[in-house]
Amino acid sequence: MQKKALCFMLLFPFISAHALADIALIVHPSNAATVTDSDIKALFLGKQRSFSDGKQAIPLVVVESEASRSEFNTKVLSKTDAQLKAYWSKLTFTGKGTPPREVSSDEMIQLVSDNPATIGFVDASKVTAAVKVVATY
Amino acid sequence: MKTWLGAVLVLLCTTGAAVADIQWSGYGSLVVGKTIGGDPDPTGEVEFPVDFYDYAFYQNEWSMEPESMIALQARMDVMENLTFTAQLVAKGADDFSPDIDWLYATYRFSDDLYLMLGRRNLPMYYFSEYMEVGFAYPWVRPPANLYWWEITQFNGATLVKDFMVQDWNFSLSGFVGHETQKNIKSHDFWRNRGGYYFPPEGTYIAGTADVTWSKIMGANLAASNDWIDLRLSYFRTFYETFADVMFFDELDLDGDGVTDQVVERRTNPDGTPIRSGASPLTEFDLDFFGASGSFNFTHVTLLFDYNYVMYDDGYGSRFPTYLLTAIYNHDVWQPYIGMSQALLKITEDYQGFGTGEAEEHRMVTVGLKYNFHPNASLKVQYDDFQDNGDRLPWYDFSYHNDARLFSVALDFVF
Repeated sequence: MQKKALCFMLLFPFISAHALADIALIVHPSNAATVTDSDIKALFLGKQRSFSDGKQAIPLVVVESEASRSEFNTKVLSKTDAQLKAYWSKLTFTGKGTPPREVSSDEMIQLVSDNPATIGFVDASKVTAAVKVVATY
Repeated sequence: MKTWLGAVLVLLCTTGAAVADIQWSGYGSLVVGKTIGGDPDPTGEVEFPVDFYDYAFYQNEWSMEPESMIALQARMDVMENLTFTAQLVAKGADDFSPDIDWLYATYRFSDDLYLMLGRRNLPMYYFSEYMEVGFAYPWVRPPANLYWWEITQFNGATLVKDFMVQDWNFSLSGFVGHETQKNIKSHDFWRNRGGYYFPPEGTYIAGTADVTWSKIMGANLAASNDWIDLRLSYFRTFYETFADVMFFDELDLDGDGVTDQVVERRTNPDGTPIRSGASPLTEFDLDFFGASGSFNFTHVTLLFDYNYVMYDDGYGSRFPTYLLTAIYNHDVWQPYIGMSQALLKITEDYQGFGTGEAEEHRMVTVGLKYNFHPNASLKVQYDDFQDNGDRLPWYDFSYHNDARLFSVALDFVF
């Protein structure tokens, strides 16, 4: 039985890796705006600067060294890290936009719990009661 | 021009730093390449032009000067809604002499309406505004048979309005401006390859040229949703070329109707160089139309860029051009294949010159982008340029012959 389980893990190591890394999209607990998938993409790609209720939105992303960053890019924005970096290079050097501020997961929780305008994401295991989860991926 | 731009940058750096932080960033490319086949040009060498603006081309030996470059961007938030941006660019094709290529102020009236005032890239083709940011696109360079203009920047104003309609994000911009480039070597390049202008008196561009695009006025509309990105562009400008020219005076000494002597004349009686004057071939309106975009599927991106340029010149010149590229997006590997084509159609019979297709060149591009680092990529690319413009009754308008190029690029941002 143990051998069978080991074989399974060797053949499909990615299954367990993906299962562990759910991404939670978080906002301030007072934020009652509806956030659709299309809003999320537009906010994190710099195409939209406010929530559906018209209030200002400030997207935050976790630093590149945290695994949830790539997960978010792939699962939510449907882009590889390289595609997204190329996208922001285009905007940065033509004056059409600046990428979201990068913070650690701990800072993310702190900033989102302090500022009702922010929207960010963390590994679902790091969510605390100080923030509101609006979607998981 | 460069002097005042430099002065403004110094002023911004000294005064701006006092009230705001300066955010530094930049990009660059190290590119080596060599031709690996083709037919010799009139110079006797197989040449592959890659940058007309900076007169850069590869020959049959490894070279890194034509396209290697580095750019440093400074961005300063001077007031809550006012930002200054400057880019200092040093190119191998220009002996790495630093130039301030971008210098503009951005004023935000609101989150979705802003004005950019100053020096910026002219938004012509899909990739024109960031054609030197190699990290931002798949190829080593946008195909040079489309992106071939001697004017790539302008001084002026751009007003941008962003808005949403259901799931589509739109960005509408209008721009006006002016640009002059002096001592352009590319005109000498064309002259050496058989001439570019064909006035009836035998007048040829005989050196570098000065080009002015005045009354630039145009608009862009960009629309995107989850997986589609589309862009329409249009602008009009008054295109003037000035150059030192020479005349070949054909003398019929004995009056028998046959030329006995040809005298080359480059100077006026007072010894000054003869400059080209106004003619239907050196002064005309230019209209640029573009439709371009990308379709992003799960693993594949398709890029297209179709453009149509009209000269209101003596020939009624029309330039339909397009590029198509398919990219496979693996995690870090992006193989790509593309083709591009540019035509010159002469639609008006200028002094018996005739009408028809006078130039055609195609390019097939195959390459691989390897994103080995979050801020850097390595590209390997093969280009096959085919000159199909050797058609009678016209002289070959095309600027060079068939050529194949192999190039390797390291692109980075910081």
